Amino acid sequence: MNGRRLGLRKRLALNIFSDLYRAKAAEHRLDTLFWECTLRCNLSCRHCGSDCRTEPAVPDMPLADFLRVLDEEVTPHVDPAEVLVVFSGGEVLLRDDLEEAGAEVARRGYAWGMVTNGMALTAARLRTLRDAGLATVSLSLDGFEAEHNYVRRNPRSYDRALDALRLIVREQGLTYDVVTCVTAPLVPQLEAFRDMLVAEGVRSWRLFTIFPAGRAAADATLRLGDADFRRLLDFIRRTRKEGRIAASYACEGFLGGYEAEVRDHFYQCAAGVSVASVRVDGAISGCTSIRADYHQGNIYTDSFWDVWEHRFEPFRNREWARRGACAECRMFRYCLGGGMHLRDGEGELLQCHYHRL
Amino acid sequence: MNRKWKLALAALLGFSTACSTVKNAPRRDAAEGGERIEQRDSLRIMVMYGVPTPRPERLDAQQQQQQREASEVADPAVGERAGER
Repeated sequence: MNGRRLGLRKRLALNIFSDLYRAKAAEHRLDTLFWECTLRCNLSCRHCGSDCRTEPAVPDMPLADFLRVLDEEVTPHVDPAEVLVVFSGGEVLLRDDLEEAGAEVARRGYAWGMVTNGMALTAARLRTLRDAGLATVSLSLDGFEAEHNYVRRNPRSYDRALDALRLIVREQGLTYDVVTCVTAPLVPQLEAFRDMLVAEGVRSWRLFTIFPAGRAAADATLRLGDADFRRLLDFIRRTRKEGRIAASYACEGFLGGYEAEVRDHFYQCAAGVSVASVRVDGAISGCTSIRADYHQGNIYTDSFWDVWEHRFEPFRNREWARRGACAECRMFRYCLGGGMHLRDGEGELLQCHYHRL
Repeated sequence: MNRKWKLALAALLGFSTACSTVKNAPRRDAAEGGERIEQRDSLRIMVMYGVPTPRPERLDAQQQQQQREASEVADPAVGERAGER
């Protein structure tokens, strides 16, 4: 099957969805706010998009600075119950004041969650985090021991992540998913890995592939060939039909004939449309996947809300992306040039998912 | 074509879930005395380093906790009574 082929029914639905997305971009309602609270990390993963380090050049942002933004710039303009605050890093568990941060965010009425590699998660730490209002968590697990430890460059990382997984799955009322970076060695083992996750009680699984940014840009061993990429999407489609685990492909990339079959929704890039980030150095951006030098302002020199309201036009109107390979592509009306994080410093597309199908 | 018609058409095509930003069931708006049914636009796209949207019951529990804390601040005896149980 040609993975690009769109039937009439799906094409009609995509047209409808495109109109709805335009309305969403015009509305520009914030529903997710990232706080990149640290770039410190206890791992040095081969695929890290943040290029984190054990001792990064940028220190952690003081909690008080982020709370000031929440109190003075965000809360007056939103219903906190409708905005999800996500702590990201680096590895967030390295912050000793994570519980305090979570409790302060929850006290203001926001739900909060975190992304973790699980290395530092213990039963006691999970308890204190839950007491601080932790509502949702994403745990990285990149395959069985060999694949995971290779990507994570730490011989203990798989065992620690598996321990963390078991804690999270057992925790009543905690929303979670497992996030897997699919590398070529994992592709032939996807069925077995899925069965392992199901046996562990995992119900929600998000899979993504490497995009050439950060440390991953220099490591060709991490990327999937086009045939493996299609095999991955076929696997996700089959797994969703089976229904034992809610598998989905990550947000990035328009997927042609696979649209609405490997995700719960049609492709859209929410960065800067409904998602904003406060980076560790105070930079205000759309999404933490976007390269660190692309930002719209800084909390230390600008009003966050003013930036959100007036400087996110490149996110909301993507006509500027109609260039290069996208200039004549008939799919542009559906993909708007792909995810913002897939654009380099000159605005050129690093990778087109559709053309890989 | 307005939004409702578009969503209806998407549903007819079999893509109501994928097209709609209205994924959660309508909820009663407490601020309106429980009479008004609010249509919620709540499909939150999970971006690359994002996390899943917390389940509503968890949010409700958080809100209840906040209300308890607020009432304790307003009347410290409430917290003391709760602590005695």
